[in-house]
Amino acid sequence: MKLTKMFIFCFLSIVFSVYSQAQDAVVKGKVLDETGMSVPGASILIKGTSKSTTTDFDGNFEIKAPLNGVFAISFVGYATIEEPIKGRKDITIKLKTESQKLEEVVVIGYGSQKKTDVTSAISSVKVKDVSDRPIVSAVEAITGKSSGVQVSSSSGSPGGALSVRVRGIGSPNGGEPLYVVDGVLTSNVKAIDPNNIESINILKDASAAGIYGAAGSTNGVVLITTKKGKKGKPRTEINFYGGVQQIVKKLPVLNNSQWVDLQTEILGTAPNVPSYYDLQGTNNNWQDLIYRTAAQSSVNVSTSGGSDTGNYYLGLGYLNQEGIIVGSNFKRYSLNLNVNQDVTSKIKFGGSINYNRTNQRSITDNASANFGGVVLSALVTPEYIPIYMPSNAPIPGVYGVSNFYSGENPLALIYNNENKTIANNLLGSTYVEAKLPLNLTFKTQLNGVVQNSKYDYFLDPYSSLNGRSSQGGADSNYYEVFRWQWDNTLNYKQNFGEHSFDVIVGTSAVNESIANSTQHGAGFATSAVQTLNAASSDFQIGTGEYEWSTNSYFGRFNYGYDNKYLFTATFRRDGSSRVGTNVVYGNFPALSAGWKISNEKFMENVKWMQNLKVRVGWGKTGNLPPYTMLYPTYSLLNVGAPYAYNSTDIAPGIKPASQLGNPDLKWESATQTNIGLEVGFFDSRLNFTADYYHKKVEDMIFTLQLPLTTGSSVTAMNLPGYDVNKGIELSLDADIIKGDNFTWSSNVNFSKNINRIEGIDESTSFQTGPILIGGSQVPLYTQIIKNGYPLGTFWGYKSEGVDPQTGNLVYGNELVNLGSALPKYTVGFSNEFAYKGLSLSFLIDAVQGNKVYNATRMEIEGLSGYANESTEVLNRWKQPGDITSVPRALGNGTTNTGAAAMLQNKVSSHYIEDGSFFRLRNITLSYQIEKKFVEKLGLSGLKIYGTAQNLFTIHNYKGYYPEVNGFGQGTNNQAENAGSGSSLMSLGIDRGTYPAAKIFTAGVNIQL
Amino acid sequence: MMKKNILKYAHFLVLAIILTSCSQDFLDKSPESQLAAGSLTTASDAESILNGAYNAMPDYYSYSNFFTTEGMSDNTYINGDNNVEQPLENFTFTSSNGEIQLSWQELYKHITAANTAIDNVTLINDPKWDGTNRKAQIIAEATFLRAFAYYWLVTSWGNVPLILSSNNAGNYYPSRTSADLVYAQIIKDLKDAEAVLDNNPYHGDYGRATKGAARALLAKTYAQMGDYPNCLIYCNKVIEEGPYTLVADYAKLWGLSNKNSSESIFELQVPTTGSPYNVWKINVLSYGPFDNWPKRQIGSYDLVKAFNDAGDNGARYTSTFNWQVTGASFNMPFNAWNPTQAIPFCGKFSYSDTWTNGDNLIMIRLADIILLAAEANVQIGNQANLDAAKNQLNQIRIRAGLANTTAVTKSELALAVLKERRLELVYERTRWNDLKRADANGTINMVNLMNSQVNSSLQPLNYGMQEFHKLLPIPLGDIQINKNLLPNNTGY
Repeated sequence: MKLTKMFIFCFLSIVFSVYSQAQDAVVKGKVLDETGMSVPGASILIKGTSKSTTTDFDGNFEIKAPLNGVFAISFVGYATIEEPIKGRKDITIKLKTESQKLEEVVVIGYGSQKKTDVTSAISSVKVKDVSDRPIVSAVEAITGKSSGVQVSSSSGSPGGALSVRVRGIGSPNGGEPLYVVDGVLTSNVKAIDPNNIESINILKDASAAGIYGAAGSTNGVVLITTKKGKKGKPRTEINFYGGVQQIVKKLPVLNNSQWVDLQTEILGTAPNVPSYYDLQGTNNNWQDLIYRTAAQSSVNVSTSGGSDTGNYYLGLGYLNQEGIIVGSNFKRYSLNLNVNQDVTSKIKFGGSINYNRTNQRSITDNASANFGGVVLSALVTPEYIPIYMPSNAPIPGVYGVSNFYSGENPLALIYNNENKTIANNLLGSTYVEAKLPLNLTFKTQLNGVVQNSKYDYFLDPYSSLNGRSSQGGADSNYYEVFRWQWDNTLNYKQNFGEHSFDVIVGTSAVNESIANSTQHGAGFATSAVQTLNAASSDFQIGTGEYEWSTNSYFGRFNYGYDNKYLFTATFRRDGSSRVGTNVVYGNFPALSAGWKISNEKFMENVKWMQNLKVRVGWGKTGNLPPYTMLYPTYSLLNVGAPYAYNSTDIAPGIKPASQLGNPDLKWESATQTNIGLEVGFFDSRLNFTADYYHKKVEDMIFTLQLPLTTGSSVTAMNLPGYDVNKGIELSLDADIIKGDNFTWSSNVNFSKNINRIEGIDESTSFQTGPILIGGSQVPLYTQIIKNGYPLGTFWGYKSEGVDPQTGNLVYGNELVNLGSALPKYTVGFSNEFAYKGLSLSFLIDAVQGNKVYNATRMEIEGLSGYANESTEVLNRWKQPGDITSVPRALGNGTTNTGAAAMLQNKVSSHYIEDGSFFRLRNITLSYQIEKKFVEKLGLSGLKIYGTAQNLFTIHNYKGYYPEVNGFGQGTNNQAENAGSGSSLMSLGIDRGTYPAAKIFTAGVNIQL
Repeated sequence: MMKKNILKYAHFLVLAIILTSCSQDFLDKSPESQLAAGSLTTASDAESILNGAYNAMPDYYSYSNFFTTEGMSDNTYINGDNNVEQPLENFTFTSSNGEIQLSWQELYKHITAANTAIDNVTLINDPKWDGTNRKAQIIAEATFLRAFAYYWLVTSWGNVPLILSSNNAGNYYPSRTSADLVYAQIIKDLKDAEAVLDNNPYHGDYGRATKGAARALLAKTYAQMGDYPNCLIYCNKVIEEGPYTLVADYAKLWGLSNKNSSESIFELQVPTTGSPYNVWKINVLSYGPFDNWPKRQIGSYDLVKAFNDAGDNGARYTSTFNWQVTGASFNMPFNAWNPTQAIPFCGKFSYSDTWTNGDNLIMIRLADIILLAAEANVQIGNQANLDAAKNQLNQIRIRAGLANTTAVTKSELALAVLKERRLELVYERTRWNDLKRADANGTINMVNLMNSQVNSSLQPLNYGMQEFHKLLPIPLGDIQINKNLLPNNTGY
């Protein structure tokens, strides 16, 4: 009985709210800013009611209000002030600029917190400049903006993925962070148009990230909040830019006569080039033929608005990015909708949809020419190869090929096949939030993520020899991911005198299903019909289904005393189907404390320093096994291994798959300690943050390639030992000049991270970084996981230069450390200057101390084979006594041929280069046209801008571009690789990777 | 106050209902598109996993097997377009050679498939098998397949890890077992299979292991061990107890319409069209009018000369070679053939303009065993044996349209048998092991023979073969993972 009553009471308290009514009268007013200028669009709310209005163009308002009431006046950028009416009927109200540094609120897991109350390491990234820059992926906005966070582009391919590392590398599976977009957990941000991002906050330590537990908090959590409508006058904004992209540099290769000279040395006699090739007349510069000045343009339109009880935001976007390699492009059509509504004063609900559709035509990179790699083909195809075979060739008219080797020329690789991907990405959420009595807030949020992608490949049956031999071919591959997530939280916020509490408890459940299908056929009669119904032979089909789930309980307890002492405890318990069946649940606790020293009595007289705070945190974070093994417990058998007895009767069969099971496979978990200091000077115009951290990852998950004698099996295992990342992060924000007309603000951040593998038996090591060289299908391993060395350590022979007597490269006797792909430190430096409407900003980022394995050089300086090579080989050793760093041509004589052949096959320091760079990532000049001109056009704002991206990069790298990580983008984390089994990490390897571009754009931003 | 507290609890109650809605079942997920090992229970499951063990054959036998037998030997020139295959031609390969690693990898995959079949079937007890020996037969067929893979492993590498169960009792890092013990295991496996299997394949399915296949492989294994008396015993069982007869016309051994002939002892089965597994690799030997692929192996000048010297220009010659001018890449040893003129492609496999070549691949046929019997007779060397050898040799020569042999003495006959095996069995992956036996028997010096190879303009090819090249190096890729494989074979 009592229970029922209570329940009804609860229910009613949620649904209804009671308003007190009083005597109303019309009140007029005017809202001014600090300088006495009128403020249009300011919101005036009568406190305790839902009645509100906004000021007109001259800052005036009129509203019926109770004469004993209180106005709450708010406007973006100004502090909300409360003005009691006190019977007045004409009121002038002055707003004051918000002291942002003090009141800044940061988004944290399952909530938000005043920045000054934060006791953990969180970076807030300024994203104001995103719309002025040609930013394609949301995470690009972070580049150089935050200490402890390194963003690197994996390749320059249009629409290409980026890799993000928070505080070093926390997993041998790659260590990409967890993304949380408006509460939706996701391993990528494909669905997000960067123009719709309101803020990005990065949770770096255990105390901040631990509330996300095993979902990936070990690698940091990137919280993205999308734009919402604001109270006040509806705003419509149109942003357009267009621009061009260019390759940063090209690599010089041999001309025909140089190629003949090299071949003559290799063969001992001139190469036998058939007469249908023209060594004099055909001089195709393949790089000039495939690299172009590529266009990039984008249009974004958004309209938003809000009342006191609700708001909306609608964004539409179009992006067209051509690749700097002909035939590659990326188009995106995006739609974002965000709606929030108060149903009553106690209940609000809302939701958002981030959707886009992308069209991509890609070219193959990160592969040798034999496997279709366009970037390498442009370097290794000799210049005498014609684009099309001449009429006297055995098969005239097809794309030109060498008579010596089977790789196609780059134009053939681009145009004799189609590589199209169409993807739909949707990320949506809905929530209901209810204010309960006793300062409790209950929120339930249901999220959905849908990603599908259809990849179509078509090989022309006639235009190339490759296509002719199979009569063309086509693949159609599809995958779909559907994930739902249901979060429930109960939040309690209360202050008792000097004690403040903010407590949240909740549950979260995630279920994801993945389906994929592949279809292949060959035997096409015509290139006019490219769909698989036109195939007549070699039919291959496959479908696969996968599913996983996670169930979690979590809580956080924030306590503050006297605004001086802050304490936070979080706890999360996660269960998941993705770990071994013997170890389903894991616990992730974290604690942190902060001391606002500047609020102490003894600091009262210190005026030159503000907001001095120290904070200390400790906690555990986790990371799930990679997608490549969704059922790690089981040893798997493949169905679909038939045998055709009598050469006809196809009998279905079963044979071992590559996975051997491990029911004890645990989460990766990290124990992290963080010590931080925050302080402001000169009235908080200069703010300094420093953090020291120590992150020790145990139970590292490694997809172990077992010896080939196991039938080339793999198994997922928790490595012995630890992956330790420790480092310091420094960040300085300064409003250097803050005049009426001129302002200059600046941020500089510095991060140093030391990564080490510790606690592994000295005799045990694990190989990573596989590459395939030339036509080989057997990988060479370039990297190692070994005690005392960082992840991403290159491991091979030390090259001791070229022996002047033999011309051979001399190697050390044993495999040794050749340096690490991880940088020693990174620096970001951004500045913004504004003079009246004119503003100039630039961003410099620098990465120092990382090594790149230039596997491209293994092919273009291989000094063997029939392909073309880099002009570097002109310096090759030719006769005894020659002092050079480039060895002799192979096959030259018969001595020591075995050792000579090792030149290409040996992983050695000969191919290790310094990947450090210092670059002007971005420079933007913009001009906000004066209001009086703009208003004549009927607009409320008009801005024009121009930007240059990657304008200059200082480096010593011999390849196209030092920022290269073709295999390191953390695809293990992505659902499209579900069940693919193998997941060896590769860092800092350049293997014909799509080069990065310089980008110049100009744009206009119109506010209606 | 009391009321407030109760109220608080009530809220938690409502929440508790919502928050704990997930049960343990929610986290219980098992593979949907694959099977978990150990989940096989029926007789038909047992047949399926045996089919899978056969399915694992073509990867090695239709591709890699050609390089380390025909390609490395004097029979063919390797015409690859990368630095992986070419070193096998001129003996510049090292332990990091990818083709060698691929062979090793594929053979152990085949062994793993056979072991998985044996392990899983051993655990299955289905009443459908009552009153039959089918369960034992399934295990015997798989055992035969495993023995075949070990035959190639031990003859190519010498000491190799001997793995006889699907997970090797959890020892993923095995050491190498001495070649003697590996041979002993092959003999044991084959004798077990011989005892259980019938002369005719189960269910009349060509392609299955049979008693005759087990005996033929026993003969080949004993020969490679140098145990000619036992070799001869098993050759004779195959020849006498059949059920095999020579095909009268050599040309009728080849082509899509001559699959599973009366001479065939064990044959890899490939559907004429629409093969469900990869066999396109055979295709890289055959000439195709529209190919730009550098056909991986082209008949050598020395091979063509051997035919010419023997006066062999009948069906055997025309079946073996397909002389064509290639429009494709040409990358064999320098000046081996003139690229503007016709060169000898392999004629034993037909060309198909898709990747799936529909030819079966003969693994062992009666002529091989007859000539092996001749070889055993010669090596045993009594006059009666020599006479028998001569008869066996002539049987093959007559079919090829040649006159009876003129060889008389033991050493003459030994050389004659070696030559005959070459002409009869080229492209059937016997040459490398034939040369190794002949070298061991003192018939030839293999190193000298290889290093004296000349091209079509009679210039030396300067191969750098040394004694140690008779065994392949354990692939570096596996040594890097498993240090227990060290030390490598001498010379590498």
